[in-house]
Amino acid sequence: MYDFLTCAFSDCNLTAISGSKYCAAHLPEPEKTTAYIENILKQNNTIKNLNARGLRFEGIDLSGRKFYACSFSKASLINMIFHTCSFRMCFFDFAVMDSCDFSNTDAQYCSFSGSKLINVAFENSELVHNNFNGIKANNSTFSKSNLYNSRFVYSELFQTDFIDCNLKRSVIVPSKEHEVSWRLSNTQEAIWDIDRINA
Amino acid sequence: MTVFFHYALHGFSNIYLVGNDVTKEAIIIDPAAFTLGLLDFIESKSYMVKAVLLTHKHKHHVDGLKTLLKIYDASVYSSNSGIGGILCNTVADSEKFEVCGFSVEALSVPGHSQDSIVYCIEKLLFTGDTLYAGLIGNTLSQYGNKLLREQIQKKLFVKDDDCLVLPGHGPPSTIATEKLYNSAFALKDNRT
Repeated sequence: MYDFLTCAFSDCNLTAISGSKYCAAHLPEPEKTTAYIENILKQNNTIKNLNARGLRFEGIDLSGRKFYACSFSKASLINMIFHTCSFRMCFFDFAVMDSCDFSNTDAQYCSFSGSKLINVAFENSELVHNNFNGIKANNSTFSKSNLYNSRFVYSELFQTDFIDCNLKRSVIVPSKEHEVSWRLSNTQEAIWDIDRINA
Repeated sequence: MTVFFHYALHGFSNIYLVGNDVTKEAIIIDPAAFTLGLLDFIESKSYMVKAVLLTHKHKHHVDGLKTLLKIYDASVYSSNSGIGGILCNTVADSEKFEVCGFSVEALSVPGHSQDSIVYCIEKLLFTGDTLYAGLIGNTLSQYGNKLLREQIQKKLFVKDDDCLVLPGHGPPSTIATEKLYNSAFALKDNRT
């Protein structure tokens, strides 16, 4: 797991970025820390226990990387390529993702909760046991993905495709839905009503 | 600290291993099943299981305990004095104790079951069947439901927003997201 070192700034309870004593909001030289994390991302095929919470990354091709127990919570990810990456116990909650490619990824036991997805592709992916509660997805696609045991509680889905997905044991209770396609997906095996859950 | 997650088909439960990278001692949380796959995994990482934390005694969270204790000499922690003939170190609400080099805080969160305990290790909350991603545990009565919601708000929602919620079933979450998107709490107006 990434270190839970608390930010050195007085009265701040957030965790410090990997390689720094401070959280993203209190970094004295944010560009330097971002460059340090970018180097780690680019130079390693397997990335473990990295805390990049709240940082901004743009235009990096990270295809094929393996991520374990990393945090990109509240990060801004713009034009990032995560094609064929694998993720285990990684956190993207409240991240902003614009034009990112997560196609053909294998993400298990991750949280994307509360994140904003604009033009993000999760096509052809294994998205098992993931938390997509509260996401706001625009012009995105999850088509041809396995969403077994994943959750979309209070998600807001606009012009987003779920074509030919496996929805077995997934919990889908969107609060807003507009122009969403569930064509060819096994919607009858998903849970659409919270009252039906017997946890 | 290393945290591993294992999905048990028995009850579709989550089993967790928290390993101390220095001593190679490990804690298992809720051994729903103890399969060859899990044993291979523990041995491949050279961990010695020294403690078992039980969030509650429902069978989908404890059925692997007997097998585990045949292999590892581990202390069992629970709010019950014994489970299935196995003696437990009884933990009470707000009690803090040390296992495998980690400081653990036990929080009693009844409602789903009377014996429900949430274990807090640094910023990790092992919530068992009390709090899940977007949901709370089922209860037998409206009183139980009210009690569970009150206890979650009083004891879990006061934790830091970046605390990770690692539940007994389903995907992980954080305290911040549960405050906003958990269906049991009507906080729609607060959502951003």
